[in-house]
Order: sequence, then C-alpha cells, then structure tokens
Amino acid sequence: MSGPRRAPTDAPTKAATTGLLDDAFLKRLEGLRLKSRRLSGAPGGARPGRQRTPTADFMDHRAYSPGDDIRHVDWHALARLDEVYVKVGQRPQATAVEIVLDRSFSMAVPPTKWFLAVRIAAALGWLSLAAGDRVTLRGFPGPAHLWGPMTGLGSAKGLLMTLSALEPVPGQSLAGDTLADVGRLSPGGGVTVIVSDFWLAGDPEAAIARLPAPRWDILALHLLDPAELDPPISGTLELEDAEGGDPLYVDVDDDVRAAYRAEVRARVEAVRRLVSRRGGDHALILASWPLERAVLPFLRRQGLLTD
Amino acid sequence: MMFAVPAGLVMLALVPLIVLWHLLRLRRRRVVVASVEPWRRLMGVSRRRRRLPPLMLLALHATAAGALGLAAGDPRLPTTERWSGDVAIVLDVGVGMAAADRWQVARAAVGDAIGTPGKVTLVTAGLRPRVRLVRGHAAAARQALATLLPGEAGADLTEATRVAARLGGAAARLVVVTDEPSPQDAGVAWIDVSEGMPLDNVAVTAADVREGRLFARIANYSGGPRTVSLGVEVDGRRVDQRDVALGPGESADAVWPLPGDAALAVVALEGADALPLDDTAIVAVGRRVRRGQMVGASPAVERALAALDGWQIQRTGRATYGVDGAVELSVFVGPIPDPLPPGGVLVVAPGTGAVSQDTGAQGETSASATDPSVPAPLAGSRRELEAVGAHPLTAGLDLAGAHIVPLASDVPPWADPILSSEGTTAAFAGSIGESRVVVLAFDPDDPGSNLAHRPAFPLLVARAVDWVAGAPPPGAVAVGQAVPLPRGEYQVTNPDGSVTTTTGHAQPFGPGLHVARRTGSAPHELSFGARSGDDQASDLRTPRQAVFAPQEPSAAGPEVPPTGRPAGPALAAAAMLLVLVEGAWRARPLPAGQDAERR
Repeated sequence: MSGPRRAPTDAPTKAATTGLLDDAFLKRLEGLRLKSRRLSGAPGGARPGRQRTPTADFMDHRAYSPGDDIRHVDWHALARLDEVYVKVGQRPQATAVEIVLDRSFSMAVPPTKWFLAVRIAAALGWLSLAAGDRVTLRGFPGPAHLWGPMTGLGSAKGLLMTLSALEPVPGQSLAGDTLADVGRLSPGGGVTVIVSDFWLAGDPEAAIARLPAPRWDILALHLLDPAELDPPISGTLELEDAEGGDPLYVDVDDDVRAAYRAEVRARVEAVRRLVSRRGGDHALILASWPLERAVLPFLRRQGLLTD
Repeated sequence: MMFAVPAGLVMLALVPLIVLWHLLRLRRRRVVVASVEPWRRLMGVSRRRRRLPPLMLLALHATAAGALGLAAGDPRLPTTERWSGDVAIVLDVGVGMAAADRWQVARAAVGDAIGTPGKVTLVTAGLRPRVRLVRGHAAAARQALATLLPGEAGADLTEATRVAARLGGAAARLVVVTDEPSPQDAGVAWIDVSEGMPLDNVAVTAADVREGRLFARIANYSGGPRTVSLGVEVDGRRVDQRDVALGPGESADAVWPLPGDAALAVVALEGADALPLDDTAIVAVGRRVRRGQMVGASPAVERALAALDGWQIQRTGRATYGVDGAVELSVFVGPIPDPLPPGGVLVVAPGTGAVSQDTGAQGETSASATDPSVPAPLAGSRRELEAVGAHPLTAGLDLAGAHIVPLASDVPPWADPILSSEGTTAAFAGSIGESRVVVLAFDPDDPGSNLAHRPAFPLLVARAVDWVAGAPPPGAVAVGQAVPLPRGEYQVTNPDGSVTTTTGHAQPFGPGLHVARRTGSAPHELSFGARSGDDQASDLRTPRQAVFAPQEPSAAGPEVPPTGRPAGPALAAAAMLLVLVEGAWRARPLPAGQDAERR
C-alpha cells in the first residue's frame, strides 16, 4: 500500500462553518430526536422515562414509600384522605448518542458523499443535543475521539465547528477499534449512529460486534453515491482505490457493469442483515439526496427520527 | 538472409501500427473509485479481463506481426551444405567451352551441382537446347554428362534455362555452367568457367561451296597480329597451303576452284591455339542425283525442271508411271493420278471439277474431259495472280504483272490455297497420306498466261519440288544447326561413329563429316560437313553479356526458384504460436478468489 495519501479529489472536503447547516434548518431540527430504545437513566433529557417515579410532573399518585422525596408528597391528598401519597410521573431522561463518522478517503469519492455525511452527523448531533442527549463524536480511521461527550444546545456550536474542520484522513477504514471505544467509554448504552459507506477494511460484522449488546441501538446510515451503485464507466480502465493499494485493471462492459450492480446491492443487503441481527436499523442514503428535503424525511418515514 | 519476395516486407509496417495501438491503449483511463473490492470479485465475469499484462501483450503482438511481415517476404537462409533437393543444370556446349581447360572445369562444376538425394534435370545449351535428363537420379546424370562434348557454334542460354526450369520443377535449384560472364541479377547459380580470362584464338568461321568453288572465312580473335597456315584438301589430296596474315580482330576470305567430281573438301588451320576445335571445316561438295518422273507434256514445266540442280527427270506415261517409291518426284500434267505415287507429287493443269481426297480421282468434268490432257479453261479473260496467306512456296515471290488463265478447280479438304487469281484458286498444296502434293491449277503454256515467261515461275516450280520432295542438305553447316533432310527415315552416321535415326532433319552435335543414309524405297546417301567455328562463338577474348532474362514470362514454365532454405513457414508458425499463447492465457481457468489481474 502506498504512503500517506491526501484525499483523492481536489474538491473541497471541509464543510464551511457557515455553510454546514443554516439557522432556520437548525431551528426545524429541534423538534426531532433519534429513535432509541435505550435510555441511560440520566436526568435532564427530554425523553420520557419509562418508570413512574416521584416527580414534579404529576401524572398519578402512589402510596408513600420510605425514601421517597418528601417534596413530592401530595399534602392536599393527606389532608383529605389522612393517607400519605406521593405524586408520580415519567421523569424526562437523556440518552447517549455516539456519532461514529467514517473519515476514510472512500467517503470523499465523490466529494458530495463526504459533505452529506458531515451534514448528517451535524444534523443528528444538533437534534440530539436539543433533545438533551449526551452526544459524542467519534471517527475512523485516525483518532477515534473527535468531540464530546457534551449535552445541551450550548455545546452544539462546538460540534458544528469540529465537524466543519474535519477532512478525510488516510488509513484503513477499520471501525472495530472505534466501536470498541464506544462500548467501553459509554457502558450505559445508547444510540450509535454510524455514518459510513461501509467500504470497510476488515470484517464489518466483527467491527459491529465490538458494540456490546443489547445496550446499544445501532443506526447504520449507509451512504453511497449513485455512481457507486451504477458506475457510468466502460472500457479498459485502471481503477484506483481511494484508500490506496495496487490499481486494478479491468475491461468494463455491460456484463461487468451488471455484475457490479448486483455485487454492490448484495453488499448493501449484507450490511443491512448484519445490523438487523444486532437489533439495529439500516438505511441506505444516496449522496445525491438533499439533507432536509430527502434525507431527514426518509429517516422519519423509516421511524428512525421521531418528534 | 535474402528475401525472394521483397515486396512482401511491406507487411512489416504493421509492427509500428500495432505498437502505437497498444501505447494508446496503455494510456487507459484512470478512475478513482471508493473501493476496488467489488470489482475484484468480478474477475471471472468477462473473458476480456483475462488478458496478459499490457506490455507483455504489446511485445507478443508486435513479435507476431514482425514474424508475419518477415514471412511475407519469403526469406531464404543461406546454406553452404550440398544442395539436397532437386537441381536443374544448364550446360553450355558452345565451341568456346572446348578452349583451354574450360570443359574440365565445367564437368567438375556439374558434378558438384548434382546432389545425390535429389532429382537432376540436365539440359545442354547449344544453338538449340537439348534435354539430356529429366528429374533423374544423380547416377544417370553423371552417365549423361560423360557422353557430352562441346562444339556447337553458339549457345542459347535463355531458352535452355527456360526449358530446364520448366522441366526441373519449381523447387529445383537452377545452375548454369557456361563460359559467359554472369549477367546482373541473373537470379540463378551462375558458374563462369572462363573465370574472365581472355584467350587468343584463330578459327575457320565459314565454309561453303558456291558454283563449283570452295569458299572459307578465317578470323583472328587474338590480342595481336597472327600469321596462320591455311591448308585445303579435296577428296584427301592437299590442293593448297598458304599463309594468311591477320591483324587482331581481322578476318579474311579465301576461295578455291573445285574439280567437277569433287566430293569432299577440308579447310584446316595449322598451328596451336586455344581452341583447335574450330580450326577445321568440312564441306560435302558432291551432290547426289535425285530421280523423278514426269507424265504429260508441258514445255514450261520441263524448262523449269531442267534448271533444277541434282535432278534427273524421266518421262513416262499414265499407265507406266512408277509407284514403288523408286523416284522421289512425280510430275503430272493433267489430272491427279490414281494411284498416287509415293514421294513428292507436282500436278500442273489438272482437269476440271473437284479432286477427291483419298484417290485423287477426277470429279465431274466438262465435255473436254474426254481428253484429260486438255483442261477446260474458265470462261473469261486472263486474271492477275496473287499469293494467298503466308506459305513457304510463295513467300517473297514477285507476282506483279503475272496473269494466268485459271482452270475451274475447287480446293480439296486436304489442301490449302497458295495462289489465287481474282477470287479463283490458282494453286494449292497439301498432303495425301505419305505424299505431299502441289497443284498448279492453270496451264502455264496457255497463250493467255505470261507467268511461264517471268522469273517467278521457275522459282515457284523449284520451291514446289523442294517442298514436295524435300530439299537436300547443304554441303556445310554449323555444329548444332538443324539440317533438313528429304522425306523418309535416315540413319545418320556421326563423326564419332555413332549412328542416330531421324526423319525430317538432322542435328550435328560435333564437327566433321556426317553421312545420312536412307534405306527402304529409293535408298540413297546424303552427306554434309559440320564446323564448330562461328564469328561469335570462336571469339574467346570479347566477353559476351549473356542474353539472359529469367524474369521473362515463359509460356509454360515456372519462375526460376530462388536459392536458399525457405524460412517463411517457420516464421509464420511462430507467429501463430504466439497468438495461441495469448488465447491459452485467456482460456485458462482462474483460481477461485485469487486476484488474476493484480500486478
């Protein structure tokens, strides 16, 4: 494999800070949150808790138990009924959102794929912060930890600035170590959003297996450019892998293209089955889709984003 | 390496074109893809992707094209070993080959050219080519070579080579052995036994008898003046001895009177020179008297016959003319007789009507046919005479102003018209069985005809006699010259004592006296002398550029094949093998899961 490589295209890969997400779009994002079956139990989030606990948000009464917070005792009920009751409800809780961004050079072929990936990561990070979730940004290859964990919209700007400064980096796209960090550093579980084209070096199943089950919801956003699904090339070509390695000489004809399409579809399906076996969700997103008009509505239709 | 078809090398132009095409293909489009992994899994889908590495493919195609281009030029590899294939040898037997040691050198060269495993064709080049052996074994070739001697008064190498090439076959190696220098671009193996060395020579280049006198020409082909002693013998007696002084390149004529009964004259140069073979000329002087018979009367014809030299014509009648072949000429004034006598037949003023082919019987006749000696003239006046076509009897005959009174006569199927008179056939000639017949369908004695009084008539009669009875051979000929003989089979005794049987003509192959004897009916003997001297063949100093054009198209012969071992088939096979290598590489089974094309 060749030495350190720059991104294989000359197109700008940095999302300009000012152009990453506009303010109006961010405002519209605040009502959405990632679907998650896992709650960390941390207070402060906007997600309704699954257990009824003494809380100021009154939904029901229950008999007082030793240890309950006496601030939640319903004194009016005591006066009327001469029994001690406490007010209970679903205490809002937060979840851990780990956004794992594939920064390999393949994400920059074409550049639109990288730009969309960064914007997706920014959008999901923003709405998660708006929902009170604890957001961490990680990446591979290169340094696994990129930003966070942070909560609250006040830290969203830092997330956007970090994402804006990111570029694809050389190295093999080995996701296993990064995902292992997720499992190790956030033992409570949460949602792991993997934004990648899944042209991974190594075994994808082994990498995903590094996320300990069943604490982690996996959302695999499989980004591919339409040209990767149906390449508009033919003839005798020298194919160069964006992530390096020896070139491949091929003669592309109709038969070869048809076989390639089938191969890629099969690969996408394999990733989907892999994620599904882990109880996760998989969504194929084309790099040509506009973020707000196509990607987010798609994720909402898939139930991956909720109000 | 030489190329038999240099024009074929134009195919080599394909090589740079193929190289250019590959270089253009090598500049393949480079495409960066997110991952080559899915492409790598498709290596077995297209057969086109089973190619050899590009540079190897370029080298393979360029090499194959180069091999094919060279093969198109029909390359020949030089070989020093004895030619093991067929060989066609042309051996010059002109008199010059007898000078010094040329003949010994030539025999040795021919012996070397004879390859034992192959077939040998041997043709000698004299005045006319003569085939000695056709695709025979080497032993037979050596046997034929042993019987050959030079001495002909010239050598036609061109025709002899054409004959040899045609008989030897396209694969035969052509070898010419001669004392003439090789022409440029001869295209054959040329062995010059003279080695370019000029030799001094004096020769008798001509000899003949004219009007009772012996004529001879002597020429000096030396670098300086020569004085030679010239002797003449008649019938074995020395009649003259004189010294003749000649400057370089000069010739001189000498004439001697001959006695009336002389039979044989010999002219000889005394003294040594490079070529003794052409120092002597023999002339047969005496003429055999030939016998003929005449039936009927025609003063004009009789006068013409009397002027013929060497004929004794006896008058006879229609009931008594000879049919046993004792005479060589029969002249009939009137209808063609039945039976037709053997030998030559001249008919003058036949009867009216057609003449049948097999019997010569007269057809329908007019009232005058009751007297066959009086043919019926055509109604009308005399008519101008003219020759019909090109026939040796009338070639060059001056008939201007000659007119005859033609007799009504149809041309029979066995004859061709030779004279016509304003649309009417006046004479015709042909063959009936073994006999040649000329019919003059007019009365030369008719007062209305003036032909008998013109020189053309006796000349016409003389030619007719020579044509029907056969002309006697001249007294002296050149060695190799075809000598016409009268009709019949002759046994020719040659100067070396050998006897050959021939009809129609004799061809002497050596200098000296030749005697032709006819047996059977009308036996007689003819003789002629043959000399080797010739004004070109005897000149051993002046190199003659051989008139040799092997590229001239031959009517029936193949081209003279080039020498050397052909390498074209091997080159073509190598090119095909390279193409098969590429095909085998493409068709090979790919190991599952392995990168078949990764460099």
